[in-house]
Amino acid sequence: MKLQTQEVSWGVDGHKIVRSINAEAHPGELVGLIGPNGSGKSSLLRCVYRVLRPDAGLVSLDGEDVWRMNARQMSRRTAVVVQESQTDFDFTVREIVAMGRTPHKGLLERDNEKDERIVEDALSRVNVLHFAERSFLTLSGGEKQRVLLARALAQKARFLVLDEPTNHLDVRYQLELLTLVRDLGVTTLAALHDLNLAALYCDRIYAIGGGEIQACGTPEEVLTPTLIRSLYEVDAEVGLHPKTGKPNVTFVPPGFGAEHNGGPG
Amino acid sequence: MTAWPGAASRGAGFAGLLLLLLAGLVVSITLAVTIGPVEISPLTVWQIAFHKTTGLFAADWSMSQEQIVWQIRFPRVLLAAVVGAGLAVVGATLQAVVRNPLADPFILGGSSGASVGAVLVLIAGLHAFGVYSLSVAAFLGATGAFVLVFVLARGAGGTVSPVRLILSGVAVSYVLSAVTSFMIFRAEDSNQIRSVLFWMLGSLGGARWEYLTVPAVVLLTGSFYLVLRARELNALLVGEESAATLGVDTSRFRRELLVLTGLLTGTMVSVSGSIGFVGLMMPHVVRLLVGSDHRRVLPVCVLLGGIFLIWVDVLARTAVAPEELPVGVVTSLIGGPFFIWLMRRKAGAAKAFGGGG
Repeated sequence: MKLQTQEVSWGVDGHKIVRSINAEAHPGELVGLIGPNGSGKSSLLRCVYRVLRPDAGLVSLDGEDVWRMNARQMSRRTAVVVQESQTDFDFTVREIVAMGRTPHKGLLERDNEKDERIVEDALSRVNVLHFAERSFLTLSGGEKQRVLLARALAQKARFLVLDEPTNHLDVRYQLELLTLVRDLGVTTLAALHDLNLAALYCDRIYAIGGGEIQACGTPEEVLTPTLIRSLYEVDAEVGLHPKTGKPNVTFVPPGFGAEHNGGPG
Repeated sequence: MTAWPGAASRGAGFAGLLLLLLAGLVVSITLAVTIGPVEISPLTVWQIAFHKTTGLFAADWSMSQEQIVWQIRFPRVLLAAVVGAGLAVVGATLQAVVRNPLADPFILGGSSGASVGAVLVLIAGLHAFGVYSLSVAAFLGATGAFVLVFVLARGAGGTVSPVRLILSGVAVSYVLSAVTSFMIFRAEDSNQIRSVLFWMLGSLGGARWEYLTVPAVVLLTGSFYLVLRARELNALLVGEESAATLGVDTSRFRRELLVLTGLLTGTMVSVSGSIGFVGLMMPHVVRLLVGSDHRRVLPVCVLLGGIFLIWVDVLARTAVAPEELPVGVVTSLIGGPFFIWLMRRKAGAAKAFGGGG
């Protein structure tokens, strides 16, 4: 599935948050969005997954305007892992994941064996099968995040949107989650805070600042000290890691010897 | 694959529970009809019922027994079942709509609106609809307050946020309660005041067969609709954006639910007065039994809510016999402590699990 945004803008009270964004994700690509807090990443994602209606511009999936679809049609094509507010209500992990089947079920239709197989598979892929009958409320932040990814998997959509999916996760699960997402081979758009994770897993990256695209391209093209400086106002060194062959970002904050850089050895 | 109960066996367990509750409801209705100043055996109760509905069975009971069973107790017990079921279903639904476990049918102004209508009839003597004046006025008051709350809660683009709903519900309730208090304060006839207060505390004493039809139809159609949309209610309970990404048109769905719950609340209040806490308590008790999935919660709410209010009403009319307690007093005596327990349990849960991460 191919995602395309054309000149997408969105704002509140005359304040523009997203400014004329042209971005795309080709079939099977894992595309990252990076940028500082408040840069408009999440708003852009919300426009993409059809919760915010752009003030101008077009969001399309395989050439089809998402606002010409209804919520249900959209949810069969797009699965989303959002930064969710807390719920006070008790569902088991399995029930939460089974909700991913909602877009595919008719009014009086029951869950059949196929649904159960899909749910079971999603549970085991994110390694939460062993606590499938536990209450979602009792899970840690990282466990919840994995369960929500399982729900997105159970949706069997061909386009995946992830908003900070590695938040709350420890290193092992950060890597496992992104490996899993990459291996799905499903078109994916993900907002990521961790530049090194973005470098490792993304096919392409859009750098967003002030609601606009500041740079786009492969991780090697985008993740340069100059861009990181202009985006985050932070000094960084970027090298190619000998093992991964990917850019490796090291931040050099004030007081950590940045002034010695390039000095005679 | 690890052994876990498949859908079939879980479904069978749930069907068993429903059958058990259905049997419990029939038993409760029977026993509740037998209980009262005049003792009547369960057998006689059903003989009279069959005699009245099918004409079978020769009458070997007295006229007064028949009168008591058929004209007084049956309508009252069935009304208790319908109102209890209706309030429980509305409570469960509204808790999903405003995503707040402490929501109940009266949080959106339903109770205070109905009171204004009822007080107008009882004190100002507006009898435009004859014997149905009180019910019609209460219904109009409840749905009117509901519409007002809904309009006030509308934000930009017609979206309705849960927090704004609750806040405008509270505000409207206060204003309408003040209106009611003012009218009572200005009333001159102490009998009028007594009947107003009795109505406001909730009572099933006025039950008649004619009053049953509308609430029963509203309850059954409303519950059926909600069961159809149970998956979407589940999604709504987990979160606004989650629901949207699972294919729920959340704004539209919320509007539909508000219309439906307004109708249900107005209907129930119009025949019973404001009976508090049933709509708050029952959904929680039901969730403790069967979890949060609305496909199970809603049918169990109907049955358990009915059983609960039948027995509360039995208590209300026997506890201080021959006097009768307002049924709302009994539900509040049970419900207040329940509410506090619920709140403290939540606080404890937040402490236990909030730190994990």
